[in-house]
Amino acid sequence: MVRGAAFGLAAGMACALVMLVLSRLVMIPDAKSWAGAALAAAGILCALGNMLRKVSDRDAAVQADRCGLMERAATALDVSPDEATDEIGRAMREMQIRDACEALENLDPKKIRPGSVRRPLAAAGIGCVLCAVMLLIPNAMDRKAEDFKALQVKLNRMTAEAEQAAKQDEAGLTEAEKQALRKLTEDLKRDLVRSRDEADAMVAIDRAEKRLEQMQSSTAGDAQKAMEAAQALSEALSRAGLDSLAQAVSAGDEQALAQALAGMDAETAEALGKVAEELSGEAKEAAEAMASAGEGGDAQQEASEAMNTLRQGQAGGTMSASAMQQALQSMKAAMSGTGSGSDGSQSGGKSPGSSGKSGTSGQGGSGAGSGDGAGQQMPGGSGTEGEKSAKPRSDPKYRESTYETIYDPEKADAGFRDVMTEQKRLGEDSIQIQAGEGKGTVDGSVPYGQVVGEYARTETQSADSENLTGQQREWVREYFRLLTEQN
Amino acid sequence: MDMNSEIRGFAEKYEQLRGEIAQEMIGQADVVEHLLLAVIAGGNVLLEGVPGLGKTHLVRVLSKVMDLPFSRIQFTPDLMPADITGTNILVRTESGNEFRFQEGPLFSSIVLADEINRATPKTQAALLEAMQEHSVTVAGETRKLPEPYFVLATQNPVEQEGTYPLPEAQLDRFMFKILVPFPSLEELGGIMNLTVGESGKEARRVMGAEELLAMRETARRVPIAASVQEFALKLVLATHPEQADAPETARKYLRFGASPRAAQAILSTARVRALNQGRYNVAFEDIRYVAPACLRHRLALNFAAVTEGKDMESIISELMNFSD
Repeated sequence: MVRGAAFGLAAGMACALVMLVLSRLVMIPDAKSWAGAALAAAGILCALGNMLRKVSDRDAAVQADRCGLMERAATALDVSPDEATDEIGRAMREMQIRDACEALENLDPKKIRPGSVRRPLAAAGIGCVLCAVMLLIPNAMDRKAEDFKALQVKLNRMTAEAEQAAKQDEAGLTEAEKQALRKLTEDLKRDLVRSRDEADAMVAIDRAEKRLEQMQSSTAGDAQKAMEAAQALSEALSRAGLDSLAQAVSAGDEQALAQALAGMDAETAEALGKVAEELSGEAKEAAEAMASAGEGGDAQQEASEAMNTLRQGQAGGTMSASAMQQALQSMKAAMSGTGSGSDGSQSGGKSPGSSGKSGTSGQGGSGAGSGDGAGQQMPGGSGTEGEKSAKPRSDPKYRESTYETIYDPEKADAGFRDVMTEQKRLGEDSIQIQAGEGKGTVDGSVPYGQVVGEYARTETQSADSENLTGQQREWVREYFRLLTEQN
Repeated sequence: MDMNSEIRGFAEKYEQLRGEIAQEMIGQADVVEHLLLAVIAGGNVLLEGVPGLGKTHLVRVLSKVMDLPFSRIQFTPDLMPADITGTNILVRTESGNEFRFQEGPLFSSIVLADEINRATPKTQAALLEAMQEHSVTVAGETRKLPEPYFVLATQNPVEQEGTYPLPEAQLDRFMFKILVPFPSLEELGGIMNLTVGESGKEARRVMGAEELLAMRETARRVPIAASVQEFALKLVLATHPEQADAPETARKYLRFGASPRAAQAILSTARVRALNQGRYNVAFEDIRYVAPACLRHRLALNFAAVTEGKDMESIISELMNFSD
């Protein structure tokens, strides 16, 4: 058992050492706990294994011999009187076996020492020392693991908030919209779980936000189309002299429409048919339904059908998912608040649609953004600062990606073309900017909050390396500190 | 006498031998122990020590207690092989002159070859057949030497000028090389009392040739565990620097290693020691006890060992630790 424990200790130390070495190469959350668990598990398993291992006669004999039996037991196991070639040999072997038996009978089992534990204990000692050294040397991965853990906690909370918000929004949605919202929530949840850092999480949130906008735009478009169809039908009916029908359609009054259809004659029905031929889409369908009433159909039914056709797009109206919208904005605000202080290379390299370049391009990005006149979004930080201060983040209508964007060619979507911008001449002032062979499209913008932290770090590091006075460096640091604080 | 009694009586006999030798030899207990081990095991012994330590006297006492004929050969550079083996001499008989073989001093049970390194290689070689085959060939005729037969040679570690170092082939035929140390103060006092003062006791006969041969046969039957034998064989293999798994010590300090005769010597003398310790099996301790005497004359130190001042005993000790 002692030997087993010694081997177990050595094995445990080896496993713990491997875990600690791995934790320096790969981010392993709670690496020290895992190392401790490996130590305990390997130790217990080895000790148990050794205890359960059947001890052979030879091993037992060797252990007994170590108690002063002077190889009596081991020799007795090896020899057999029948193998002797003569009387003396036989007699010698018999006496040897008897002598060994007597010695074993007189042996106190408590005196039996365990097998050599020197080597496994020495190995365990060396392993212990190495583990201690590994623990004492600071591990850069530990910080990353802690950050990752904190991020996971935050993302789990955000995921729960998103689900809560989605449930809230479902109340006023159509079935199709509910399905779409649930899909969005599931995808967001999956992306957040897979996120390795804040940049990934921001990308996931941004993607969800854009999808939500598209969904809202789509439903808004449908509603608009339905309104336009009703208007087109109403105008067409008015032009055809069917004013009562036009008014009923315009007012959306199904009863009035049914009454008007009930008293419809053949001439009116023919006029309706011609109106239907002029129109398309929902307006055409509604007109045809109305025309069917004049051909012997049930006026009430046809009126209802016509109004339903016109209301289809309007029913849902613009998809309202304010809770989800607000949740996404809160998530972005929360991520931006920690994203500006995180590792610049990570956030810089993971901007949406970027090519993964490092943060050294911050200077180029902010420099190329000056000057405007083509009606583009205001690049550069200076123009947007005033807006920034006027738009607190608690405002649900505040959308960072709209109000605060910066043109950063390193981080814009991939695309190559020459860009020429020319500002209008204002007196003597005219600026012509040739962007040259750009690395992105002109409207390649990234949310300011994603990159300000990286820019701040790059600039302050540059200030440290430049030949500046201490006071000047302090100015640079203070400037960017205030800039990032506002975010 | 039944076998069991004979086996049990081995240790007693051994103790008697030691006791009687101690009557005339003061101290040198380790030397006496090793000498008896080799003699009972049937091997030849090389005794090395400065003059005046009693090497020759020890051999005489041994012959007395074992009641074996003893002859002494003082090796000198002018000694010829025929001087020790014997030669044909012409004798006058009633029927005329005839050649008769005159036995040399080799024809004795115990042959003391004093200062063997002073004789020429040719004379040293004359001992080879006697030591190994226990026979002498003269003029084409081979004559057996009496049994039991031992050659106990002595060597002076100083006064190496004009000497002929024993070749490895002859050294290998010695079972043990025993280093005879200078006696301690107490031992010196005892020696003085014995030799210069009042006449001391004399050793008495303990056994004869037949009993010695019987003891040898008994010792050969002592069983040895596979692990113990493996230890001895690994030790011999570890002395070879050219072996793939040779220890660093051998690679660094040895020119060549021991022959299989070393393994035979270790195992046979270990068996004798086991019996005289009252055991009926060989133990690791027996191997460790006899190994240095078996190996020190069979290994050769290289220049690195000489320059670093490494001695053979420490090297053998390291090799034993490696093999354990």
